[in-house]
Amino acid sequence: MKFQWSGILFVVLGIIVIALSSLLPFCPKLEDMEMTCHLSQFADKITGIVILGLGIASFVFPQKIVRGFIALEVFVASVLVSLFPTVILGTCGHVHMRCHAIAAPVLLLTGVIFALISLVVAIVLLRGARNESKHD
Amino acid sequence: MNLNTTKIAFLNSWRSPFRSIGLLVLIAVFSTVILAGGLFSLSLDQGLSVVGSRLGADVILIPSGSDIEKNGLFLQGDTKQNFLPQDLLKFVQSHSGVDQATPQHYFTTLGTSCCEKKVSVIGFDPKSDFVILPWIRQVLTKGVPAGSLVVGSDLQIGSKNSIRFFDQEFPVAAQLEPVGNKLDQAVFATTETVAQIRAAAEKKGYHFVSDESEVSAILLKLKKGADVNQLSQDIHFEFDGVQIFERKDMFGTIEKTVHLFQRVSWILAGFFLVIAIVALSVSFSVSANARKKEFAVIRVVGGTRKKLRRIVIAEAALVSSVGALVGTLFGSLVFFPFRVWIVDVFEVPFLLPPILTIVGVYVVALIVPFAVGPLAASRVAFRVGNLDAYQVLREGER
Repeated sequence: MKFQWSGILFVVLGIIVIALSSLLPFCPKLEDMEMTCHLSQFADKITGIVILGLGIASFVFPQKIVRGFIALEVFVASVLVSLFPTVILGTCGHVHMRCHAIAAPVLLLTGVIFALISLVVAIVLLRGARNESKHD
Repeated sequence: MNLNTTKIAFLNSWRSPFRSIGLLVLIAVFSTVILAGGLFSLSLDQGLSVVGSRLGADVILIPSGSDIEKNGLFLQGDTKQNFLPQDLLKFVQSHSGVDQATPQHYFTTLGTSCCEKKVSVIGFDPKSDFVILPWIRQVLTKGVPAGSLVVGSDLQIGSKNSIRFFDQEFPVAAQLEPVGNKLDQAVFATTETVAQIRAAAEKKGYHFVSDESEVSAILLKLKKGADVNQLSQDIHFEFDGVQIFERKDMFGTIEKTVHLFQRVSWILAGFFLVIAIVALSVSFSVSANARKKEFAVIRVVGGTRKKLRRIVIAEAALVSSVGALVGTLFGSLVFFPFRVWIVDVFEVPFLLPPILTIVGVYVVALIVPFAVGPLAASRVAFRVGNLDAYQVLREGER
């Protein structure tokens, strides 16, 4: 298996998302109350696993074009990491709750930074793929 | 290929990605510091002015043992369950230097509408109050209806428009305008409603709410020319366990903290301004020296001196404009989502300034970092424009 820097990068990003959604302060579970922030936490954890999986998939496919499209998928997943706790699912309504004041902003910022990183990776890989096909 | 100035500047920046990214990051950090620091500083000013206008009392009496002196928490709406000696209210009401005196009762309880977050309840006497009612009247002109609550701007009321304490629903009459401190998370109730909450608590078997005669704080408005020291002596002579704070004592602590934060923000912005100017001018100077022959060739093939200057300025403008954009985006992502957390951690009065002021800060955060690039590169651009192409191309031949 050839060394794939994009694969390693995406595995690291995936692990960070999983770690953040596990370690950031979300509300404690209450028996009689379904809390929105738990759904966001679960969705972000799953998205982190997907990013990790895409990173592993990058090792399997050596073609730059395929890895470029994988990077685009990581871009979409990173945008979702931002949007789950802020727009799509949200967190608890009280703005001073820890899930609202700490967890959601951290995931928003993380998602945006990861989206930018994966977009740059996608551009570099897809440009590389285009140049290679020109030379062929 | 048709190469205009912008295209040449773009290709030059693309050709040295590490230099371009380094400078871009520097400008972005500068822009972030201006945006976040500016908004933070102005929000503190706004919070301070609103808190100041809400504190209508000249003197506040609180029980001993409070940590008010250290951090001015009283103004922040922190509610501790300590009580003043009984009869103190009657004593100050009859004192010759006191114009108005009003009691307040503080306690915290769990509201059922929101997870594990505690709700601070501030009970006030509508007959004597001169501090909370003027604020409430901005949203509720006829006063607070019996059995109703008035809530701070940060509390979630829900569709029922009520808050449940000890299995009893209390209707919310109004929600207050934000103040920018913990009072935004408080519930305000008249002494009558506090008695109803107490009764509801007792029905459920809780007895933690104080007796009606126990007062958490007394707020005083003094007569013109009244001597605070004399009042203080009279109170201490009659009662133990009372702390007396003048408005300036409490406000001074918060003001000091706020001004410290503001100074740090502006020092950081100044620091990054200097660093950005130095780094850009050094970087462009080194780069221009290394590319002397390239500039000479452009001169030889017909590029004017003006064109050379423009290429250098355009490269700097490109890096600084992208940096300013990235910086403001990042600054927005740091400031707006994290502002609640910042307020909770630092416990300072914090209120967003008006929208036009925010737009103004954005304009400054974009324009100043954008101007830094061409400004720092202008000396180098002038030098490049004046180079002798023949001399440069002959260099190293002998």
